[in-house]
Amino acid sequence: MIRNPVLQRELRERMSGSRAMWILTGYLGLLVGIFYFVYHAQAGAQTGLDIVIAPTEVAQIGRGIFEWVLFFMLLLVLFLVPGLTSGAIAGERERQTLIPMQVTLLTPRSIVVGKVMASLAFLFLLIVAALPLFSLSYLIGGIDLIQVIEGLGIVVITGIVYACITVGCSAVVKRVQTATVLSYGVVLLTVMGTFLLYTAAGLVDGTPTLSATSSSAHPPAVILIANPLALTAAVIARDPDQPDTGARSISPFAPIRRVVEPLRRDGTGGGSGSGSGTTTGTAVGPAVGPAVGGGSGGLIGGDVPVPAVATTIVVAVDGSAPVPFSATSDGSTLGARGGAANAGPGTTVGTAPGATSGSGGGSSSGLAPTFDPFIRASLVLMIGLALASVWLASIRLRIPAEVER
Amino acid sequence: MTSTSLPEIELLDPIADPGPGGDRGRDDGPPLAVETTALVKRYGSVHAVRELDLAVPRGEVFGLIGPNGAGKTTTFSILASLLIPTSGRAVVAGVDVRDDPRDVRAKVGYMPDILGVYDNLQVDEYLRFFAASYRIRRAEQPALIDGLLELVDLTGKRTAMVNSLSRGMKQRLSLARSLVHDPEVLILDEPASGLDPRARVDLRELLHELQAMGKTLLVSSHILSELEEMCTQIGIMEAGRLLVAGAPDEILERFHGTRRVRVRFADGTAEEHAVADDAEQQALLRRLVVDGSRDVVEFAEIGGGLEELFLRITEGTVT
Repeated sequence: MIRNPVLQRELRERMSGSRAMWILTGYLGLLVGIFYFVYHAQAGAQTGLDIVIAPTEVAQIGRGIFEWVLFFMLLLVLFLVPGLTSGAIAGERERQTLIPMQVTLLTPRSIVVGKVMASLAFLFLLIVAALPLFSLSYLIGGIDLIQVIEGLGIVVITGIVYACITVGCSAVVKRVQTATVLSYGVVLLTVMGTFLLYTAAGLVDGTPTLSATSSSAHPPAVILIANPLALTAAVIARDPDQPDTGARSISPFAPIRRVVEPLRRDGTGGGSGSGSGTTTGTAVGPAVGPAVGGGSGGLIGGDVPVPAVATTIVVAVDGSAPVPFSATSDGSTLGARGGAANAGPGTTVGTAPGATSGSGGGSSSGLAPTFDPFIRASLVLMIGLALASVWLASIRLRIPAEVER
Repeated sequence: MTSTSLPEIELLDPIADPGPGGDRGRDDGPPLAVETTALVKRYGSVHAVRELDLAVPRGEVFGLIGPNGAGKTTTFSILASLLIPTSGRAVVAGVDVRDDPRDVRAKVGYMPDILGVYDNLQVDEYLRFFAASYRIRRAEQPALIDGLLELVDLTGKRTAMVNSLSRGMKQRLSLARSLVHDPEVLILDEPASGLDPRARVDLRELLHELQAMGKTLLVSSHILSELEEMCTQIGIMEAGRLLVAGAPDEILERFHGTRRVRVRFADGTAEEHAVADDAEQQALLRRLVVDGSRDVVEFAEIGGGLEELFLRITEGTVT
């Protein structure tokens, strides 16, 4: 797969210009600036840099820096990936280089996969370049190594998913401009749109939402499962002995965490077993396994790295405390449907409101449920979207019919 | 990247290939390199190709001539498996384009009329990409690329950036790209368009060389004089139909009819004579010279050859 000709050519082309360097520099500059700013806001303002700080406060500082850097890293990835990838196939079309490529023995799939991987190669460069910042916040304390890995894992997954979606957009439309608008549209819709919808739903319900500290009645969290920020919040907020800290360390994920919190509490406490969040758990949870496995088999073949990478990361995130769930009946329909995987979780969630939490009951022993329903649903949806995009792009390239007359 | 200099050309040469074929190229396969029967391609309500019957024997250089919009590019795209015909059959190198487009791609080299070129890529990297795309093993690539660069006379430009090449060089690079997998049939869409006379002569020599290697070439153009000297077979196409096809001499023979000769005299006067064939033309010349009353300065056939024929055919004056 590394031998993919498209990938190799892309790497040669991309890395030989100065553009890559400038993007990397700007990106690192921004993250360092954020690091510095957050550190000062949290530590320097009150105590001064040279004064000994209490360990709990240090932990808060480290935690705060970690969350802010992660937050901006996600935003940057969401901002950069569509911009860097939208020309992937539409650009070849515009430069009239797609036909010479299609007339070779390259399969549509390897063209698409090469493009996605080329985009990811740059993404991994960005992530690796930011690792020192994470190690610094790790050194300061307040976070576990597991959390750092999980956080980065989410960034990687988000990058992969949006790279796939953007390549899909790029393959479907004719012009780079349209592809760029389309893929930024997807980002805006999933990041901002879902929040707005969630808030609007809250207003309609008449219940306080993002600004409220805690409330039993929420709009259905399903709205947010397509949101990578919500997913990140859900993943990094799973540390049970991390109380919601005061004003001194306002986390960028705090509002989202409040939304996701009740779902988790339902799982751990086992108090109210019939919340809307728990419902998503039973309906969607079992689908994770087959959706990934079936998808990679049916859509783009077993040798494709995209689902492989995704699966590994899912396992890595899961691995800290695996939750027993059976990958059987519900999921198989989702996996079998392949291309429509994205529609799977949504409909399942919608049509099974009465079900009670299976996994919640299983893990109510006090151990942290590291893989709660929301995360699972979100991961399924995102990976489903990514696979569907790659599949769509391959279909689009299969019938050339590009010849302009 | 040290060049291993010796027998690169032989990689392209089917004679060096110990496969079937033996003495002069590949005689074992079907006699026709390209065959279409009642080929139709419609884009919505537009008929790009109507009932096209084309037969190109192996080893020929076939020139497809027609005005813009005649359906040449569409026909070539179908033959290169890039377009699915609306109806009819197209068989290239013994393979139906509809049955097995992949096999067609393995046997056909296609050069589109527009040269798309990558930024930030060297000539050798460009060719290596296409070699890899045609599943040519990594170990064989350097020798292959050396051979191709030598064939198209770009050896000195090996590490030049692709987008810095002149148009003629890009054209030759594009040709090298379409030869990467040693195809039996080469389909070149408007290869000479936009080339200066020198580059055109180079291209012609290159095509002769490829023909000598036993390849079948299909070349299109809307300028007939480009093809007249390099093609062994010519087809004239208009509005999706093939009007005439055959060897250039044959076509001329068939449509000769009215040949005109223009004679200019030393006193500034000129006159035109209609002649039927070479014998009559010769007789006319002898008569004028023997007569001697007026000194002949110029004696030339007007609009001779295919150029005029082409204009007349595409005007619809010949059917």
